[in-house]
Amino acid sequence: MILKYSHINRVAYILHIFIYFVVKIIEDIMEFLKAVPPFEFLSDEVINSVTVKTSMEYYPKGTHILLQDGPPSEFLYVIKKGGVKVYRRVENEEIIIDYRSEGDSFGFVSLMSGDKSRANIVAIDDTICYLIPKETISTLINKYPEVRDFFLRSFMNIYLDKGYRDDQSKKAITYTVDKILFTTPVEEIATKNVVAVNETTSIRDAAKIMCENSISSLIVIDDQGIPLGIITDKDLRKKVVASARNVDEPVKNIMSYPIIKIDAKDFCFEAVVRMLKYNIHHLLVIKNGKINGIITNHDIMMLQGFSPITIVRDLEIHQTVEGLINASKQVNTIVGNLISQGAKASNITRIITEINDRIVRKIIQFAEREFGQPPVPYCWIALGSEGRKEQTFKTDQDNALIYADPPQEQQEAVQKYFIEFTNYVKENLLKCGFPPCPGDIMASNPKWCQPIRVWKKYFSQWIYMPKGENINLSNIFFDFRGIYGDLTLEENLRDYLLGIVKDQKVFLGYLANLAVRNKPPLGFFKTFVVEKSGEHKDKLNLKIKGIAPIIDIIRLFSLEKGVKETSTLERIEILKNKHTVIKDYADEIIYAFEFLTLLRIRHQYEQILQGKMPDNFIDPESLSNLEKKLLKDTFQLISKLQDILIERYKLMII
Amino acid sequence: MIRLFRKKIEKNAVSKQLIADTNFVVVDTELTGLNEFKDNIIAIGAIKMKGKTIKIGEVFYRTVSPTTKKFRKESIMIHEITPSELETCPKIGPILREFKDFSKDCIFVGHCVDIDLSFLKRETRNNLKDFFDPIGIDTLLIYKWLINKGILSQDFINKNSLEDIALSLGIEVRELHDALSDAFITAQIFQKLIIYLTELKIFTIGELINIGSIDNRTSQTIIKKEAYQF
Repeated sequence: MILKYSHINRVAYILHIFIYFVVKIIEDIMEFLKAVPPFEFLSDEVINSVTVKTSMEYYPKGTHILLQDGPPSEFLYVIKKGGVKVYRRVENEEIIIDYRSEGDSFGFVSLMSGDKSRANIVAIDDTICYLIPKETISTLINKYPEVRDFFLRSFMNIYLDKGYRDDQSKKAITYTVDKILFTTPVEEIATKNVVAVNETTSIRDAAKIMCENSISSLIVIDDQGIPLGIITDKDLRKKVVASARNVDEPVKNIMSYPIIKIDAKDFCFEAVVRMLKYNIHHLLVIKNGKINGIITNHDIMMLQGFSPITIVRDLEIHQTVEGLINASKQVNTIVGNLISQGAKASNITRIITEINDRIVRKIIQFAEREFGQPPVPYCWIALGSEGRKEQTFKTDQDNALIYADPPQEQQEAVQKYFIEFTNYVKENLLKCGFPPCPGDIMASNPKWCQPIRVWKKYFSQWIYMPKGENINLSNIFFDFRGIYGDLTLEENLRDYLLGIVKDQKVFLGYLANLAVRNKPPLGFFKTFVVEKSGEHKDKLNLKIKGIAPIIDIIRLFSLEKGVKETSTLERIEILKNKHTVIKDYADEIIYAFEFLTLLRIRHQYEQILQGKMPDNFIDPESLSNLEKKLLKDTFQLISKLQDILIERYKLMII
Repeated sequence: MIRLFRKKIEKNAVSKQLIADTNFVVVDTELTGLNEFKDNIIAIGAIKMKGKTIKIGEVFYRTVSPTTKKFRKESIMIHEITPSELETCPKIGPILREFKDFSKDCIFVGHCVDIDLSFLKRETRNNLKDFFDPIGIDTLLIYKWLINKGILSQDFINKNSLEDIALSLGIEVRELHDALSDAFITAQIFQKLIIYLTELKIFTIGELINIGSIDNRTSQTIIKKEAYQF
């Protein structure tokens, strides 16, 4: 017995030692591969199975690893150390295609196609590569869609026709694994048990039907079966019981309407946005034009365990600024949740915008309560990133106020009212965590609190005399968006702007000049071009080098084509059909913009968690290899767009 | 005599073979000490190569229960394997048999490989009653030869330890002193040495044996004993 026991023990020990040591040597390689796309998508077990098939090669500087028109590659080469240059020789001229460095790979295309190599690969440094055999790669591609998508995107793009590419690239950036809110279609969690009643049904009967079916809502339809509204438990409580309404009245008298619909195929995230937007908790789910179910905020909270809707409800309830302060503090948590769920950047900024807009509106309502009804109609406008609905974390206040032209004799009194009014808003926004604009571009500044007549004068001056400060002001102000008040004032001003700006070639040339001013770093290899000195030494300014050029280019095209939208992504959608350049590059720009914004939000969120002030300086070394690669692609795209801009506006670029 | 003769035939047979087509097994053993008569193998680590390609997945590592009671303290310190740990390990017999299978038809490569081979030879004779005498190539000899040829810097002439040589060739040294990690480092050294030899138009096993074979042993033995990390 004892012998047997020790025997088992011994086997266990040997196994332990064996696994421990074998893994120890392979572990390093596994650790390395784990940080390299597409292997980063795979489980340890799978990576291990790849590693044991892998071999390791050393190429001294200057070695040609693959030759143009030479035999097809037998391996996928992953660079462990060093770097290579990919180039082609055409009629004795060397065309450099790319540089690849640690974590990048090469040899894929000829590996998969079995065609001769398309390019020369030469080690430009002493280089160590891991070689993964063709067979292993084929197996991965067949088994794991993530791996297939990665290779298709990163390598095949240049070789395949655009239609296919579009299809592939749409999936790419949302490198979410299974992020519930963004992957669950509404129909999956919607309540299918929907009962509809005719609008003439009595409240009493409707309540009875609800009880019998144990449901909390009923759809109200007309004679044609078209949904008109909805009645919920809340309606019965508030509009019937609490106000002692006669239960023989028809349900249409108490129903909530209009009823907001959502398609069964839409993702739950879209449902959240709609609920937020309309401040409702029920959406009618439509499938193939027919009622399919109802989705409630409760369904969504059940799905994810938290909800941005709660914060909005909080905001609605509070009647004091103190209440708002508490609610607004939750924004960071919500953004954190969205990030960890793998939300798209544009979805995160949409939520932030929705919440911030509500805070602003609420404070303006408090101001109206404080100072009494305004003497003339007005419209509060947001500028800059807030105007573009692209706010990330709490940024400076950038706002202004347009009011209707008052009669001559009231001018002073009206101005006085609005200055007090806007100062109140400014102070209270500050309390909610929005610091004042250092450049004093705020409605509380008399210069930016003006009747519409003056605004038109400002705009025309900036456009006709695009000099110095004027051009910068146009960039900030021309992204204006009405937040609260009489939105016809905003519309009026926008029509005016788009009317005069269209053919102002000189002005547009100035904008173009500004849009190409900041060149993205292209000449980097291994490292990005970063700040050379100062507080942000070795960091990359994501906003100046990447995000701003895209925003500027898209704004320019939008003004040129009379696009009313203010957000960059919405502008691109409209420009697709209006502008030849955008038509060709829309998807790539959207992709790049989403990616840059996401990097920025994630960076800022980390800073907030560390108790730092959010900024735009990222450390390129902190990026994964995939991110580095995408960033490189993104910068190449921006540079291409800038070149197109220079070409188009060359006569006007100074 | 017959055995030596057989080995000579073997060498002649492979001497025309190209380095690039040859299977190598890079080996490192951990020993209780350097006395060929008294000391024993504690662990065997090995990794295979084909030409200059390191086969990361083809590795061997086994720890052995020693028959000797005498355990040199220093070797314990170096390898961090304690006698009590080793007592639970299997006897050397089966491990040697397994290793023979693993290294079949391969040319042996190692840092001062003659020491590893002499221990493997004796253990095989004692435990398996079998004959074991493969061709061995010493990376240290090749390294010194390249220095004498002026290919590697004279500055390295006094470097003998595995770690120093690895560092002088720009190889990352992280997990020294377990047999498998050392074998892996030796493999990377061998990989680089082959590339230097290729530059000198040395392509065949015959030439490689002439430069790095333990049968061409000279006065190097003493240096080797110093350089060997047991």
